[in-house]
Amino acid sequence: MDYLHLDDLLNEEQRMIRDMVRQFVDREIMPIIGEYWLKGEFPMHLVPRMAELGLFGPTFEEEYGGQGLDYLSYGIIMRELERGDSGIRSFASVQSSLAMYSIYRFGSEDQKRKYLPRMARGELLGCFGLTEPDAGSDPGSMRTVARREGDTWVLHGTKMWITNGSVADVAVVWAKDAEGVIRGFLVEKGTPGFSTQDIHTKISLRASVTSELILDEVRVPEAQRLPHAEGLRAPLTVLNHGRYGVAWGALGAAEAALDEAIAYARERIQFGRPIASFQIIQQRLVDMLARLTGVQAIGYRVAQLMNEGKARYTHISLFKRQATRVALDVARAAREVLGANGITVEYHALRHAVNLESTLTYEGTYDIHTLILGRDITGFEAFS
Amino acid sequence: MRAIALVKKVPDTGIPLKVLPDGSDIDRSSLQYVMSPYDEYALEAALRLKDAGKLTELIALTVGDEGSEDVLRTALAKGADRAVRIQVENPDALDGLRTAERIAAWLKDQDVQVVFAGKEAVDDAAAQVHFYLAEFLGWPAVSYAVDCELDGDTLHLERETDRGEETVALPLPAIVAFDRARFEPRLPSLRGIMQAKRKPIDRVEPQGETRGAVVRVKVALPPAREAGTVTTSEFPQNVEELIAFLKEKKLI
Ligand SMILES: Cc1cc2nc3c(=O)[nH]c(=O)nc-3n(C[C@H](O)[C@H](O)[C@H](O)COP(=O)(O)OP(=O)(O)OC[C@H]3O[C@@H](n4cnc5c(N)ncnc54)[C@H](O)[C@@H]3O)c2cc1C
Repeated sequence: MDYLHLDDLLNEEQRMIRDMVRQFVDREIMPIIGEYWLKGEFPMHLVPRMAELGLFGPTFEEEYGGQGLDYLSYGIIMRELERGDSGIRSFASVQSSLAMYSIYRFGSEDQKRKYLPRMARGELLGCFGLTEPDAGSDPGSMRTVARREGDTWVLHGTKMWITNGSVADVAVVWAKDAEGVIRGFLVEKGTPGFSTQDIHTKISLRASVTSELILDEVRVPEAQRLPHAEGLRAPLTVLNHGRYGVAWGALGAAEAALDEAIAYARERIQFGRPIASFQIIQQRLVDMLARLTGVQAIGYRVAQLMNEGKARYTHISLFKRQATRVALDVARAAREVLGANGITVEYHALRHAVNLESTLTYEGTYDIHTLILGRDITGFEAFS
Repeated sequence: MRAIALVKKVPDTGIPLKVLPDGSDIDRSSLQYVMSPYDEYALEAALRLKDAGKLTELIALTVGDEGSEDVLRTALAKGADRAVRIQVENPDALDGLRTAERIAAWLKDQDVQVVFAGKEAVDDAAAQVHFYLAEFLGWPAVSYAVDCELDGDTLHLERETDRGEETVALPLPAIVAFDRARFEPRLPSLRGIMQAKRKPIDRVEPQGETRGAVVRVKVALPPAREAGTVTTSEFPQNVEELIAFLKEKKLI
């Protein structure tokens, strides 16, 4: 649902990108997603397809495997992927915006050349390890440490809730050095002492791998440290970038849920009339439409600011905060319109709604973005 | 070896149609447009030959207005080397004969050995252009292809017809029109989409004789179907009811 014809603002090439991803989702994700979601499995066979289509790291320059794509196009890609499923979009987000972007932004030239083109081709998968069992919204309190021994760093600690953790070939791991400064490291799969454990008890984002990373005296050379990352700012900069895509993704899920609810309401007959002809249903649908349209407009404006290099992190916080909350509410309300059918994976609204619970929490919870915005407009910090 | 893929921009048939109040045309204001699906199969067949190194150049061609360049860009994004638009202001007013005339007038001066087309465009379903073109050029044409292979100067086609499957061979130059093929059309990649911007679209003035065209007089939606009769009784009573019903309507 694009009530204000915002997609008319897309240029020809952006429209083609939208149509391409939309067709990919319709053909290759929609027929299988319900089943994978129920099984609690990520459809791994889609990775080479997404790579072939160019969906990993598209904003980077060609020498790093990208296409120099603008941020509106990038947002549209994320929106269309999550029209399919949040787990698929999360995979693409983590690969592009968290793992690849960490290397792109804070890596050495050697690291960029070594990893980025192969990650764009889907030959190497990445993950981003910041959160810990006891450090979520407050990542500065992390306990994972990096001890320097000559030209080697010894990493010790545990990372939790890491998307793509066990399937990743390279993990971006954030740890504190002896001075308490947060630094980033590229830890390759198979490095002695590095292991992962998947979390199988999720009832959200089921078609996505979420893991614990265990770092037990893992030794990595200095050449695997991200040289330009120093302090908490570095992972926060990366997350800021990632959550721009999360917000666009949430719009896709909400649009899919609303479209589904409208179509269903027009077809479903009760009391001799389509349920869409009842005022309560109409009001529900219109509330969904109105709130969603507001966030779509925010998305387009933030995309412009991103392309002009004028987006502040607070703009992205506002977008992420609104998009995930509204999308969750819309998907939940859509589920209600679908009645009993709405609780199955044959329809999509509830799958989207429970997925969106994760998006509300990760890459900065709804509350944390409230505090970020609150600090910005009042000048008072209310985090602790 | 050089080939042409004919592509046409048509309304997406997945969207319900409305007719203008005066019945002169369908309401085009809320339509979305796509490349005609059979053209997509034909284009894919050509792209596969190109990937296999059997075509040196693949040109996408449409007869249309500026807006119809969308389908040319799509063809370029998927891998066509360049594109040609024969410029007409109101492509919808062209019938198959006039469209084919214009293509033939341009094509006769080109060094082209194969023309790929869809068996019909899904908007008017006239299925005429490729056969008129064959007539104007004096080339053989075969429709309902589902697969093809190029071997020297011969095009081998697999066809599926109501009578069964058939394999035919055509001497080049030739025209082939595709049905729903044995393979799926590819999606353009991001790289392809970005490169398409840099590939040329030649815009050429229409040439060729202009004969009288078929004119659309009126369009109307098919009458709404009446609700059917449902029997809820058990077997075998339901069969008896069905027989009685058919007899009553004098259908058996
Ligand atoms: C499916 C999934 C995938 C994830 N993938 C990754 C990943 O790839 N990499 C990674 O590093 N992390 C990942 N995470 C972790 C995610 O970023 C954290 O869950 C998130 O930062 C919140 O941390 P927490 O869960 O520890 O919650 P907490 O920080 O414990 O928060 C609990 C509640 O308290 C609220 N709260 C916390 N502090 C305040 C405050 N100061 N004022 C008011 N309210 C507050 C929060 O808003 C929340 O409602 C993922 C999480 C999920 C669910």
